[in-house]
Amino acid sequence: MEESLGYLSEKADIRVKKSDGSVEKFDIEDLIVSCINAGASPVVAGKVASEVAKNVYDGITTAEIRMLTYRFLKQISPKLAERYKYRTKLKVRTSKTIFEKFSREKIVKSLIRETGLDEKKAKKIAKEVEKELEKLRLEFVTAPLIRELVCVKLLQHGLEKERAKYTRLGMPVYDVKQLIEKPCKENANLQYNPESVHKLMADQISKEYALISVLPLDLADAHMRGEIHIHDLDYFATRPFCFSHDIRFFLKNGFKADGVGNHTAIAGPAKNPEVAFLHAAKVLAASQTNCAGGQGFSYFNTFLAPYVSGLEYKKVKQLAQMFIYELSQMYVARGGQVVFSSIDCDMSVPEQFKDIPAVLPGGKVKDSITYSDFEDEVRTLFNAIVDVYLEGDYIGKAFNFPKFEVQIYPKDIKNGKNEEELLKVSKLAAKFGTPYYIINQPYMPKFACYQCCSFLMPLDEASTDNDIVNGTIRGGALQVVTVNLPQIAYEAEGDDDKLFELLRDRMEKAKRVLLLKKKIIERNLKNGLLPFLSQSVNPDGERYLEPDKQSYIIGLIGMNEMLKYHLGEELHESDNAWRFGLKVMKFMKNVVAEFREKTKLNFSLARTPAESSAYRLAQIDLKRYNGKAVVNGDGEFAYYTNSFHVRPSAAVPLWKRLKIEGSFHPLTDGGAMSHVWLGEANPNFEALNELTKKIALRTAIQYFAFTKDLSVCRECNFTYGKLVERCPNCGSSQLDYWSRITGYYQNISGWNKGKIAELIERQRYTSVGEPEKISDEVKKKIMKLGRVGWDGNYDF
Amino acid sequence: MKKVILFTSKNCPRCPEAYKLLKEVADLLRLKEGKDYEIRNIDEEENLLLALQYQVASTPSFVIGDEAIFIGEVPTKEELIKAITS
Repeated sequence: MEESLGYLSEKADIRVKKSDGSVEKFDIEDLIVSCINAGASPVVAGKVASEVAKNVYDGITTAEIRMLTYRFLKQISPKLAERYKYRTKLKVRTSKTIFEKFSREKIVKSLIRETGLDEKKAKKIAKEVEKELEKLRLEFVTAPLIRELVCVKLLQHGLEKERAKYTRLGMPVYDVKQLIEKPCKENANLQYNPESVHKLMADQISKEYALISVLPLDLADAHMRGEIHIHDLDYFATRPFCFSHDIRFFLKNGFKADGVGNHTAIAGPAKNPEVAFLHAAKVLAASQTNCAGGQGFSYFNTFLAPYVSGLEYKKVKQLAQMFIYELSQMYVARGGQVVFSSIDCDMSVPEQFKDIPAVLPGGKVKDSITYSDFEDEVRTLFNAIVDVYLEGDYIGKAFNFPKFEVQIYPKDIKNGKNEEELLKVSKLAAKFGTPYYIINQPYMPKFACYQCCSFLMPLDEASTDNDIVNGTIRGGALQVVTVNLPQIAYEAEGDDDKLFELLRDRMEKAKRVLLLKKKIIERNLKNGLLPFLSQSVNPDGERYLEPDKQSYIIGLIGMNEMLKYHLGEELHESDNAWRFGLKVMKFMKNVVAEFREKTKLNFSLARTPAESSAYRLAQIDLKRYNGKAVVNGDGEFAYYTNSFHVRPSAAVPLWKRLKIEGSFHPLTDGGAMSHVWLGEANPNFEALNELTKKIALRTAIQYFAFTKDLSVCRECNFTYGKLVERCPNCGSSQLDYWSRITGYYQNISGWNKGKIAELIERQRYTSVGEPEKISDEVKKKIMKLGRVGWDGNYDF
Repeated sequence: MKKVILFTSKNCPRCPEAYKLLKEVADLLRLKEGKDYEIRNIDEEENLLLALQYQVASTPSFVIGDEAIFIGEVPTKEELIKAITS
């Protein structure tokens, strides 16, 4: 032993040349470990290493050392030698895009770091994985393959939780190949471009991550079972939902697109009208990078009115046109889409801002100049905006973004105020169906905005008096979770008590999801993950988004189908069913109020737009409750009626439909929407104007829109206001169809099958409320469109 | 003569005024409570649900016949009489 030690000290300065060209000192211990790893006993390993050490020389290569080791091992045990050879040859293709030598120790370390396993267990699992690898006789393995083998071993040891922490997220190669190489219709609502390919790949990972690692198992399962639907799951771990902005903040302070100015240029307060309008467009685009859902401006034309002062009408219209084009063309948001944008506009200066000092060009504020001094400009800008929408784009196609929200006050209608403006808005509704009407009903918050895809933001609760004066009115939904009502009915089997018990259970689950989201957003803000939303709005350091001020929205789906199963009658079929529906809604409102009281957070009940969930939940229930589920449409077209709506295809008079739906609006403190599906190509705008007034004065509806279906000819660019098989102008059958999916217009080629079925079944009306139909031919054509999957680009 | 329902609630500043007006008009037109007119408090759930079916969510509100004619407001005596008798 003494002899060998002396021998080793002699060899201590020998240098070994590695395969990558680098040089390191010869280390006998490494050699001993590699022999032991191959299964040699410490005695044998020491003996072999000593023999090798005797033969090494300065400048020897690692390959030569391996060869020597193999030879000496073989003299003792050929089996051991073969095992050693395999191990030393085995290379790992790592995610760092380099090859590395396989190391069991790396598995041990990663298991301890990532799953918290103790060292003993980690070593045991790593050893077993190594054995498995040996059986495969591979020269190269990938890091993902090793990880998969580790996961299998973890499961075999009953370590499911550890497996969930250790597993990889991703997509099959086949799916990625399809996304990149096959322009398939499955994702037709996202244009096939490099940005959207990246988005879809990222979505897949982040959605899986939310389900496997962010949500507790019971909540993830509640989503998978369709008890609840967690909207925009792909953004759950990273971003809040939607946001309503106050342009005055940027007019006063300038604009930093990244929120801090480290990565982008910093602009000062706009002095010129063009810059003010461009800043407005860019604010929404910038904020969209931090949010999943819609971005909007409240009081858009009021706050920009000082910037159009003294300008002739042509110039004002040019500014409005520039802004609208920016938002319908900036193809930059969330993987190659336009910003989901909206503007809330008033026909005259809203009461609450009349005495507020206006933000003037250059960001200046003078106490003597208030918004009431800009009455003419507010009206002019309003008219200019409507005129731009009325003209449409270069080929006469309607603008689908920004959504145009018009504030209506019943008392103004009674007093005959703003009649001309309202009539012009009715012309726009008759031509393209563009406007959304926010009816400030007596029961509504003092001031509020409609945001994103029809969420009501009670700005008076989210904002202080200081916000109103300083230009920092803002609000938004942090997250939305929808409760599946029909499923509750299937489970309750006609028992009222059970029905309400289950409803509370689902709402409790929704609450837990929403509170989890709050924690996530608080952490993300703290970590600087949401830089645009983290910027300070005042010297106290208040952030642009404060989770405590946001809305926590619980929605519902399929009230109609729930009633049909529970009572045997649909919402429109009896006053009894209608009343029971209201009772369920009131119960939900009470539970939400209780959540609000307990958490001091702005929980609210809303009609969620249900673009994906109306389809997804019906499809889940069809499978789960075979033969029991009450759905509309068959098989892959099956869908639930949205929220508390009357079934879209129900042949009921328009006024009855509106009254039934209207009765639910006051119970939804987080927003509601009703639709009037127009069937005529050229509805009478004066009749629509009268209908608007009647809805505002005689129903409790707080938000609605007239929807025109549009056929846009790909050959001659002609836009026709009805779904038709052939272009009425040139006879071509090459048509694109547009309609309002839920709360916004979209080309129907990207709709899911459920929404396609709803589209063709919708009960359409004339401008005087008579039923109106589309042809069977066009129905057949449209039924061939649409996606089977429910992953839309907007999961509202 | 159309049937009248007046919806009221607790903490409703203008409800006493509406109530007084209805009583006055009822006397004038010899309307009988229960038969020709009713006063319902929407703080009770059943009344609220009924009110909502009439599109009423704020008080005071007058439903005359089948329509909510005055929502969240008190009409003049003449307006109320006209609405009931027309």
